[in-house]
Amino acid sequence: MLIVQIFFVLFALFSLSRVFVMVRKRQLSFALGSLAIVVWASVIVFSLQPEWLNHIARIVGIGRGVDTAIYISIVVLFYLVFRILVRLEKMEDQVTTVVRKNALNKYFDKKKHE
Amino acid sequence: MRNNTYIVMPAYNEAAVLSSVLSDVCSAVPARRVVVVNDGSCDATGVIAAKHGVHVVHHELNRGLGAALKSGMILAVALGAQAVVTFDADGQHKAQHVDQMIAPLLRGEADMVIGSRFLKNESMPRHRRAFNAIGNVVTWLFHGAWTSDSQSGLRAFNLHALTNLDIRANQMDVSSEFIKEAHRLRFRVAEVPIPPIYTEYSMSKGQSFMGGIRTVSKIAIRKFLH
Repeated sequence: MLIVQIFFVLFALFSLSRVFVMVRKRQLSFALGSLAIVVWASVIVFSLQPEWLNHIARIVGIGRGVDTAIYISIVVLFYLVFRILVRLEKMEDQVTTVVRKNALNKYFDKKKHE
Repeated sequence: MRNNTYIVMPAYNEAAVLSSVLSDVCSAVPARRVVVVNDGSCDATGVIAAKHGVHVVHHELNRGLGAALKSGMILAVALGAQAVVTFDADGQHKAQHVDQMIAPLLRGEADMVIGSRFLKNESMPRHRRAFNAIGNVVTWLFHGAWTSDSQSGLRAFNLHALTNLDIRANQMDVSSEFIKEAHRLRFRVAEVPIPPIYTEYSMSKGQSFMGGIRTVSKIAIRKFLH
């Protein structure tokens, strides 16, 4: 086994353990947690059996197995970044709602006492 | 309606110019019909606004132009506004244009009025002209609605518009969202020519290139949110 394979497997195992902990603590939704488990499990499988990627590469018409892994990774990363941005935007909206409610309540309270 | 027209002014760290802007505004509109939203400023913006006797609502955190405008509009309607004129606090607008802005509303010809800096061929810094043109194109691409000045901060709304607008953008992307909402709700939109006023101060407060990129990406993300 190559050093790079060992590194990938160890890193994926560490990430998997983090995902399990986050799902258990409800810091990560079950759906996103499942997706993360599939992604990291795939990293372990393809690190141990890189030739399987070549089969997939042949099926989808990409030259090398490693290229397939890179293409899939880019798509998954784009999707995750997008999900994070949408989530962030929703949180921004929630913060604004709280700040506005607080500001208007304080305004009317002050007027009441004047 | 004229006597129930309120000015809504979002202000973030505008202590340097706010006093002169408010003096100008209060010469045309009584202070009791001016709402300043102090959007989490770190300077004396809120104190200066209060000294002028206008309504001041304080956001404890800076939430951005869109959030401040919405808070101001909600308060204005709660105070009895029949129309609202949104007005920049950085000295870009003059109170003498308020009457022009509300004229189409008073005549019952429009629900929303945009103060456009492009209807007369007046000089404007080249990069600002380019920014605004990009803003118009982006608004048209994402929302399918065209105006000559989608990024103008001087706008007027009647009560029908105020009670139906669903503004969710927190930041600068609110300018495009107003146009989107007007298009979605089939508002009658009028454009009134206003002169572009650019001071060194207002230029320094304006949107940077990177800010513009952020605004476009926010418009794109929100397209998937709603």
